[in-house]
Amino acid sequence: MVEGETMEDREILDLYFARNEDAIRETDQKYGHYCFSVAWNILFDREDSQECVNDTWNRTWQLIPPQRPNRLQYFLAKITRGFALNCLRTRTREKRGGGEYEAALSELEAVLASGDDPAKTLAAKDLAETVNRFLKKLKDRDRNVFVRRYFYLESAAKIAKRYELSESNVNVILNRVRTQLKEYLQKEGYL
Amino acid sequence: MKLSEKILESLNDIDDAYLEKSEKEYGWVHRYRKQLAGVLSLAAVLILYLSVMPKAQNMDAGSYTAAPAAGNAKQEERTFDAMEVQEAETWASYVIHLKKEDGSALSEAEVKTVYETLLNAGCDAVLTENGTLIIRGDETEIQTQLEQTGYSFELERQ
Repeated sequence: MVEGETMEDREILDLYFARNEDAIRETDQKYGHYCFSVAWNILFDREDSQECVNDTWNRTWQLIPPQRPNRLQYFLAKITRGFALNCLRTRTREKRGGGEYEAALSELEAVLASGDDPAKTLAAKDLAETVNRFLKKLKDRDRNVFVRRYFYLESAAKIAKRYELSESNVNVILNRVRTQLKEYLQKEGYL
Repeated sequence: MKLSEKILESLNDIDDAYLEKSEKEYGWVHRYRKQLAGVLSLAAVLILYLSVMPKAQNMDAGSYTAAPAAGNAKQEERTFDAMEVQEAETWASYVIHLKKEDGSALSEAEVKTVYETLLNAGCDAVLTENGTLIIRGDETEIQTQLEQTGYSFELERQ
């Protein structure tokens, strides 16, 4: 293989299964920038983001095998996102801010304000399944905008540029989807 | 933990297909790039045709009264047309081959970053499924944009 070329995911996964540490190097080369941007959108801190990416490589090394993800990219994104959210929680509230996490949280809180009673909420896994069912009902464009905002925590401006929409259009879509989410959660007994 | 926080967390279990779909769509230019390329090609042919046809008709009319002069005019027309074609030839589709300073190739993510930079700069760029970066426009302008990425590059005309 020519140096600088990226491997196919299948080949990278084979390296993990062979317990070959090149797997991490290849993963970093192919998905390092992507995972860093996932962490960066949440943390807005270069050092912490890089630490999350490094933690992601370690965790991936532990998980594969036995796991063999269908889509390595999103498998890594979810691990990075999990580390970044944990990292954020360990910071003090004063140190937060700047990142899109707080803004995204505030947007959801504004709609789901009455959903703070733990007795009304179900297990995290159930909630995840409910959210997936909700996303399935959405139109493709609305779902994509929602995913870019609340999974990747991208700003409305960035989403607007990605999908060639106006920023106000993105905000209208997000507002509409949040309202739909609230209604769906009410129907499912979360609110 | 508040429900809003739980929802943000629960998105970690989102279906991969939704993440993939959110990556792939890049606005109408991306979605309709093939149709757009076809329309642009047709438009280019039509413009070229319309720009040549009136001149040919004028030359025919002139030839009735002054054949030698018309001959000179025809020569000038040919020269002018050739210049036009030459100008048009710098505006085309190019495959971009990028390299780092040390000569190594860029990772997929780095290519994607360059692609997004080009899109942000208003360039008509396309990143294909197999990672090939294609751009359409004037060669000089494309070179100016690519020089700003800091990578060395070569343009392969399509």
